[in-house]
Amino acid sequence: MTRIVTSGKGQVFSLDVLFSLLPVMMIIGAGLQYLYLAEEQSTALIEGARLETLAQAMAENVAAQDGKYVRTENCSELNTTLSSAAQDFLPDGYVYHVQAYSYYDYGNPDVGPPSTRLCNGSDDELWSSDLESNSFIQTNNAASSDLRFMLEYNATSGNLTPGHIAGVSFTIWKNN
Amino acid sequence: MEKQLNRKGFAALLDGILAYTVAFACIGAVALLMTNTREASIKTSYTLNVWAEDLADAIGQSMVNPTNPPVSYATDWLDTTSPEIKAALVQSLTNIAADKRVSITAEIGATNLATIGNLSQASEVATATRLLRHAEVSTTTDPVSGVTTTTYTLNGDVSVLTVKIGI
Repeated sequence: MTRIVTSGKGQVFSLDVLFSLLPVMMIIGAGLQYLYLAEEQSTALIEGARLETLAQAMAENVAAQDGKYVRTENCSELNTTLSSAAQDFLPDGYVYHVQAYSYYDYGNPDVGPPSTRLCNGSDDELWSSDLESNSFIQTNNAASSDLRFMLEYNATSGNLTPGHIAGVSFTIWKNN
Repeated sequence: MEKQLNRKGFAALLDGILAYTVAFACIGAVALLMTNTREASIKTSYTLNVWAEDLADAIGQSMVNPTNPPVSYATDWLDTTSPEIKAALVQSLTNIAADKRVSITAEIGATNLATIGNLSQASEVATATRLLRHAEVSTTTDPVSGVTTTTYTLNGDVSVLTVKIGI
């Protein structure tokens, strides 16, 4: 049996030990850095999932309304529904912006965005109360959007417009 | 001899720390990568299913006579009664498919309503179905007043509307 005796004399760290430990410490350092990055990414994923849930909830709230349609002009009903939904389940600091456009009267899809934007009346404010009129999205951090399809509603005739499908896009972000 | 044994014990300890750190980092990287891949697939499936349901609702609503109780047209209306509605639906679906880079098919029973793109090449397909009730149309004219009345009566037949969207 070998007896191990510690001695008060001698060198604790020798040059060869330090040299051999260098790659070990580098790998450990890289591992710790990766763990930190993974934590940051997890935080971003959680916030992104939260925004997605809010966007989907608002979109479903509107789509579940009786009739499931969007007016071609003067979307006061849609504005009322959005304001009510925002008061009910949007947390403080989160804002929304909604756009509706026709996929029937789309123009040339190879050129650019849809040509016919719906809800262009004077009472149409499809955005949160603390956003300026027709402001673009200010994504300081991140935003999430959800697109739903609905039929257009012709207020003049008082009926749905068969075959005319509109897209309604809901965007949620945290207003910092 | 004693100094060598101390150094070997310390080196063995470092070996253990190194092995566990590398293993932990590798497992974490693999897990995170698998989570991201699976999360993207779940989001795509959810979106396609929601869109399929929305389009099925829109197509079904397009077939309901708005001036009468909510009854559906018979299946032959596609080519005879309301060709303009079919044309409008095809145009809307074509624009949606072009904008979102998806393939869409809509069928009523065995009758094809619209086919945009090639679903067989899609990696993921979502399907939504609706039941369309048939109505028989009858027109009567009052011989005294001359007023013509159109009546829609459900006859109990149903057709299945199937909407598929793929990416």
